[in-house]
Amino acid sequence: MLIESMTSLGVPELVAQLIYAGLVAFMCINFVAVYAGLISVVERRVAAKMQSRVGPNRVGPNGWLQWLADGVKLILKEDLIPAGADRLLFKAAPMIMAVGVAASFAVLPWGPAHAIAADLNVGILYLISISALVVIGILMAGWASNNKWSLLGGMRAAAQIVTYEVPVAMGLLPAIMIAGSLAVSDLVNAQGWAPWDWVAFDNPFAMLGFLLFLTGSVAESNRTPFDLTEAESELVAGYSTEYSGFRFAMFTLGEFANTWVVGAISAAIFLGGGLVPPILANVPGAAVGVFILKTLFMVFVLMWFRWTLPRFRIDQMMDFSWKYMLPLALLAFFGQSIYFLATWDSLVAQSVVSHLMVLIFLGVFFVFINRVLINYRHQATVVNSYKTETDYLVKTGKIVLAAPKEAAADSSEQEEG
Amino acid sequence: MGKSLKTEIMTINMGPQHPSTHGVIRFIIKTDGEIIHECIPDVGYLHRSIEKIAEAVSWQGFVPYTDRVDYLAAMNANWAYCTAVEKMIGAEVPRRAEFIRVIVGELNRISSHLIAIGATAMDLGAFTPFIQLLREREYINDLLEMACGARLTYNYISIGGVNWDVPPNWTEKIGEFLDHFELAMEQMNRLISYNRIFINRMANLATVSAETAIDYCFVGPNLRASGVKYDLRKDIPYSVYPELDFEIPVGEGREGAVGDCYDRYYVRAMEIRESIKILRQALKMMPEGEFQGKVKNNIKPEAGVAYVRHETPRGDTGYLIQADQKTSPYRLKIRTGSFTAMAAIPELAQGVFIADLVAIIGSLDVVAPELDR
Amino acid sequence: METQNILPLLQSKTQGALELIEDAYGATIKVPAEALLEVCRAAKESPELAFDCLMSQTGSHVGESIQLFYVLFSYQHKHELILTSEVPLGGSIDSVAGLWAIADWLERETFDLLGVSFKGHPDLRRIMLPEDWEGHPLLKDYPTPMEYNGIDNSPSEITQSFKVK
Repeated sequence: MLIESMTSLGVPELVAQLIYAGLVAFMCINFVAVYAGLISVVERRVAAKMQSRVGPNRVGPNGWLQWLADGVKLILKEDLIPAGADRLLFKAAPMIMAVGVAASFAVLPWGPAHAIAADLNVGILYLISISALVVIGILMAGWASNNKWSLLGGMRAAAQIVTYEVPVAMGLLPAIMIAGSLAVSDLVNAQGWAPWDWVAFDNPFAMLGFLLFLTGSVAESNRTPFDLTEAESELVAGYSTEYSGFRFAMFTLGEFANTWVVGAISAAIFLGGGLVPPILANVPGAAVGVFILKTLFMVFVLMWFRWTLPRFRIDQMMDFSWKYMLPLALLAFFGQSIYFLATWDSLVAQSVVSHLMVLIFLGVFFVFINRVLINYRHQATVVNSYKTETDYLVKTGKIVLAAPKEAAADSSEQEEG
Repeated sequence: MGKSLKTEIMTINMGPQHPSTHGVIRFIIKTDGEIIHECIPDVGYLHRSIEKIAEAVSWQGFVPYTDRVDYLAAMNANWAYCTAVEKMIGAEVPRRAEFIRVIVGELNRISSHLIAIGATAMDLGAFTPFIQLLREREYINDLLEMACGARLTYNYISIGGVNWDVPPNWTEKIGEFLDHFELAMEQMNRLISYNRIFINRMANLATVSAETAIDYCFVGPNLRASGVKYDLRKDIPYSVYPELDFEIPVGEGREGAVGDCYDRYYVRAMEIRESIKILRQALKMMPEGEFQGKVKNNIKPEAGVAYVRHETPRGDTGYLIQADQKTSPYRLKIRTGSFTAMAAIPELAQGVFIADLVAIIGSLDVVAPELDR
Repeated sequence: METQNILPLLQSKTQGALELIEDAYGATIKVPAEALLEVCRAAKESPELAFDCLMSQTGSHVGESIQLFYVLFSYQHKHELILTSEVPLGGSIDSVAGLWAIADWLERETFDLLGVSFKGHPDLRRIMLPEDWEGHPLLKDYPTPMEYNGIDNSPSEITQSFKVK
């Protein structure tokens, strides 16, 4: 649209396309920066809530401007480069990581299926390959830092990405088979607005694919339980040990932005994307809102993993992928094929299966919420202050304080004594 | 494997400012990639010559220094030293003081074990349990603060009793705390102790047989995790422990071999339950009365050598005291649980991953000031 | 088993003259320095003693010599024994690191703080203090160093103003 209006004004088409690409890229980069900043505050607040803490609450209203303060601090900090470092690679590494993450935003949908910056016909392949660029950055950082802890972190990252790329790609296969296309817009449009039309609940094998994709994506974005690359209790800070200032900020930014990529892809490909019921079809912003809500829910799930689970060991991490996830991914792929053949001509059977899936999921969810509530009630038993004040015990009648007069008499006696 | 690739051993320096060495300890590790071939602990960064200081201060004056020997269980460290001196001078401790000592000692044991298991979980990447357990520890700190006014280094137990009586509503507050804490501890077990990832990390790692444990003079939970049922509170009973009913948890190979890291972790978690049991009984049985026995200000124990042992959270702490009828000890040697546990690290850390070394240190519950003194 | 009853058992295993020393807190057995390893081996290996654990090992500076203490404990029989021995200042004695693994570190500490050498010790280095430290702090005549590698340790004016004259 923009390109067409510019060419009609006499601008050459190549220039018009470059301007368009530049504008989109500008918007993407800004979105990445702001999102990463805000989500860092959200993550810290969520973590604090899970850990009975308060979290950042000083800068701005309720601490919501903390990310700006952090950003300013990091930019003003001295940019240290270790003496023995490979200066070129050391400087390039954070940029490559940030580019890798930002470039994946090109194929992410933004609500309605057609609202994609570049709706490539191989969109999902592009995404898988461009997000692997991140690991090049991490490996470069680990190597160039001239620090053995960084190097170990970089090597772990390389091993991890190679290991988990396979189940992630294979986890996407059921969805691709259902849609019959690699373009992200087709993948979204192949679903419906209702949960039983989503790929995740289409059949058990698609569900399996979704879970594999989610687990693998956590591993690829280097978050707990797969944060071996920066395992702070083992490798000090892993690949980013020697980084400071703005370069460090780039790494953090890349990591937080990656959560959006994982969330958005899960939401778009498995959870119905920005598709809304026909009633809401003409409400402006409904599609975008639904999509963002789904994405943020997935981001919250990632945070939930991070603040609940301990970390894998490197050999267990490899075992988990090659011995369990890869066979399961193959099962999902072949299962999906067989399911296709079995229910090819029976729309009723397909509909029954997907409705059953939703029901089962709701049951599991209900049990889970019940458990959470039980835990929550236990937690909320006696969390009163155990300070020296006796108010609480006096109020609940556990103790009776001596009458004030006697107390005064006692103290005066003591003073005399 | 056939022809193996030629690899080079890499020497890495872990510490003294490494996040998970639990204080200022340094390890020189020689690794082949991620696998440790040799691990040499370098200790002494926190050596403050407390044993030399003991030779210059009075018998009572040394009590605050024992706080600094083991700051995570300062009550027990006080208690260990005071028992030793009481045995030497034959001092009588009033019954109420004995109960107060048991209560503060067990509270402090709980708080020390909370740090031990929380820090182990944190070393394995799980932050939440550590901070939740620290929250529980805050309550204990508050309770101990009510008794003695300090939250970390108490200087509460004195030779012949305790320094102050406890406030009137103290026992009720401990009861309230225990009601809350028992549930919180169960929740914590569900969150981390029975977590599959956690168990897989800890089980069958650095297994210590009973013989090796005795050979390295492992004490306390580390020894019991190897299947040796030996607790000074039962075997050489002191204070009022004979009157209290409690069990000694030992390692049973719950998830792997007997004496692995998970057993060491789990024995501590079980000891917390037993401490709760002891506390509930002691609170009921605590009598009224004196809190400080008659002890002369100027103590001069007879000449000779005494070796007195005491069960602290980090195990049997042995005070070897040589006296020469002077107002200060002639020679005082503290043999602590962390020291002996640390000595076994070179053997335990052979052929494990770097990530495992962190788990081993955590499971042994090494505290740097107690190790270096 | 009481120390008094342990003495004859140990005496039958060695040539050196063992001596029972009783003080206000119990009895210890004094072993000549050259017989220590032999006595320790006997204490560990004879089935009726079975001292399988070295609980503590240290020394103290008495007069012109170092008095060494070895606290043994048996988890099998639940009995305890304190052996003492004497070596001249800066002297040496046989290491028992071959008998109990923990002796390695305990003897390193004694070497570091009291300057006793242990013959046959696998790795006799300083443990608490840095390698280049001079002197052994737990000796009674050890002067507090005023300077270490350029770090000033002399008492400040404030410290001295608090000193009881």
